[in-house]
Amino acid sequence: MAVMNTLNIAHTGLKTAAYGIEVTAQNVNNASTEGYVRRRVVQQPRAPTRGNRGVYRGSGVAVTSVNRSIDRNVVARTLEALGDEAQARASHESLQVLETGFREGDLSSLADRFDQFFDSLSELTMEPADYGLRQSVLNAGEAFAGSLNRAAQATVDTVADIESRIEDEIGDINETLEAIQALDRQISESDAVQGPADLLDHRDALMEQVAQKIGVDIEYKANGQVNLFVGGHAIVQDVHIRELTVSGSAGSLEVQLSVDASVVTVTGLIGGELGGLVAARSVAQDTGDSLNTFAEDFADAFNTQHALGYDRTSAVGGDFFTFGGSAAISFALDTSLAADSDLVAVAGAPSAEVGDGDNLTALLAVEESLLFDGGTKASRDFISSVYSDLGSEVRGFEIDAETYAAAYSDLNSLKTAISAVDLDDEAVNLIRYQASYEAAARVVSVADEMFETLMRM
Amino acid sequence: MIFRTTWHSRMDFMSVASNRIGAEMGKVNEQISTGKKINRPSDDPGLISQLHSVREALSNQEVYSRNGGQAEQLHNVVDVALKDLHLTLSESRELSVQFANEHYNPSQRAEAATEADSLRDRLLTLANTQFADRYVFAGTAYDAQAFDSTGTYQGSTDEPETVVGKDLTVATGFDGSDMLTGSSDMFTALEDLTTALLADDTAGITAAIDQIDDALRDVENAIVSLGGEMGRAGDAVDLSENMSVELTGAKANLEEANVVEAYTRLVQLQTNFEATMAAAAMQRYSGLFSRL
Repeated sequence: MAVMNTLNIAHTGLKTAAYGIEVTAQNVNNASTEGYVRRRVVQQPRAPTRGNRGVYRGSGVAVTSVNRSIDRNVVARTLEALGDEAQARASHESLQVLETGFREGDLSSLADRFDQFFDSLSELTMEPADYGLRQSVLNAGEAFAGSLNRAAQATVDTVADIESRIEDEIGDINETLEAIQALDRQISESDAVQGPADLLDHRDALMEQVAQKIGVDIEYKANGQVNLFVGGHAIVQDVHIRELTVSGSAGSLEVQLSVDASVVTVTGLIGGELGGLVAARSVAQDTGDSLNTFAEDFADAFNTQHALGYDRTSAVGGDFFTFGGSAAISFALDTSLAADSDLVAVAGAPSAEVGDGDNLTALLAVEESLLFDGGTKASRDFISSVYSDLGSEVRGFEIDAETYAAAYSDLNSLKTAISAVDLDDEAVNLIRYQASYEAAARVVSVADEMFETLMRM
Repeated sequence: MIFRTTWHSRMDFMSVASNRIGAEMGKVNEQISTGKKINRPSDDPGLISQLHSVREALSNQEVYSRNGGQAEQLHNVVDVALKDLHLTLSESRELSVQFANEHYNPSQRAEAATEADSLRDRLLTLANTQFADRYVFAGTAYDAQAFDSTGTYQGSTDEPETVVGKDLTVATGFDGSDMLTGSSDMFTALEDLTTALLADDTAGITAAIDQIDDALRDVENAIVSLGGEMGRAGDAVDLSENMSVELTGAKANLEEANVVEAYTRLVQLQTNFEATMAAAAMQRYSGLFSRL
């Protein structure tokens, strides 16, 4: 009966319009929700029915799905850029802290302390036996050793801080991977029409966290699940996860991935913040190694020359500087010498003449000796190169962070353009669905009048 | 490509823009507050080595200048001592020439011997001249008298030197045995003169004149030699001071921020920041919902 069919059709129209208003309301109210992807109602005519005499008759409208406005390719590229930016930023921020340990521009910097030590030796040439000047040399030597210790300690502290952060983060990342795994299960089991939009939003937010932490490649599957890869190794695949672990000792901590019965080291493959921390650790260790090289080679050269001189007691000079395992951290004035300035061996002969400073000239020449980089660099140039190498690395990471941030910003704008709620759009949708609802209601009203007409007959 | 712009994307853009402006404002503020454009190696890694070299050279010049200044003071004292020695020796020569004359009798020569003795004492005092507790003619053994009461040299034949420039040293003490008693021992000459005067020995007095002449030549040579040393010390001090001025300028160019430029940039950034904030505030009123 045509009137009944009209009523049914109007009913589907009312339902569809009401659903549209509901989805619009959901969009409007989540307009500022972080990670919320706008929903779109997909509707289409219901399948027609074949009536008498073979005539096909419409049966109204139906909501086939509620789609999330998303471009997976854009999402994948955005997360990739997010990982790159997080990696460069983490490196930059970690090494910025290390830079402060070098106190550039401060008179207590390693470079300035080194200058002050040799200046004190130059001043001693005026009065080689003067107690005050000899004591000044010891004080300047201690200050120089202290600044070297401080700079070296800063590299060690940076490495320790980085490794501590890596250990802390790994646990969080594994928990996030487990949450993604659980969501993937729910997504694959969810209702097809309603769609697991909220679950997908939540999973996207978690994937963003993982991308930011370790940098991931994403592979979307037809059933809505995702596979995540780090450096070519799957960490989430077919609703299974591979946990990240940390092993090794301090200074050589490695990030590993449990693959079946074996483990794969992925320290050099991870990106994101952890990858940035690993890169910063490498720079900090290189800087520390350079300082150790400096401490060992400089102390050896200076001690060798010091041993060719004679102290105030006419004895041959002993060690001026000492160092232990971590040369730059343990670098110090010899304890006996530090306690007795008479032991500074500046005389060229064991005559104990007060003005004999022949060995001083030779000690001063150590400053200019080409001790480093295969005999091409003097001590002072080597220190400057440690500064500039560290500065270049930090600046490089800063530029990378700015570049990747711009790339991420562009991609995120694109992602937002596709996925974010626009209140103007929703206002138009609201008007449209309201109009549809009113129109469908009017059809019901007309059908009702048709019924009444029939009933009065 | 036309993007669909949303309220969300506009706000994101403003957030990114304000963060970027804020970061640059932080840097500019740091330059203004410290007055330096390089506060850490990463601020300009390429300039760090150059800046360190300038700072090192500047620090060296300060020491060179101090050492050179002290050496100059010591040289001035030595110069005065040498001139007094020359004067005393000249007086000794005049005394010798006067009493070598046949007209003087033994008692007059005996009186002259007392004066010769006194001149010798003056020579000894001058040969033991001190500068800041150091005996300037004692070589590197300057903590003890250069000559004892007999006129015997007690000092060292090595001369102390101080650094006044790169690979440049000047003497800060002198070998008295070479400088004052090199070819003729002035003390022996005066002692011989006293002996000859007491003995009324004109031939001996005449012989003493020759010895005194040799001693005078030693002192004259020493004055010339000291002049060279003083010149080197003076040049070194002048060079250090000039270098310090140049290096201070170079350091300022490398290190110091252009505060006017930085302040101008800060004003620009503040304007941008305020404009961004104002644009963000306007977003509240531009929606279609507010017109429904």
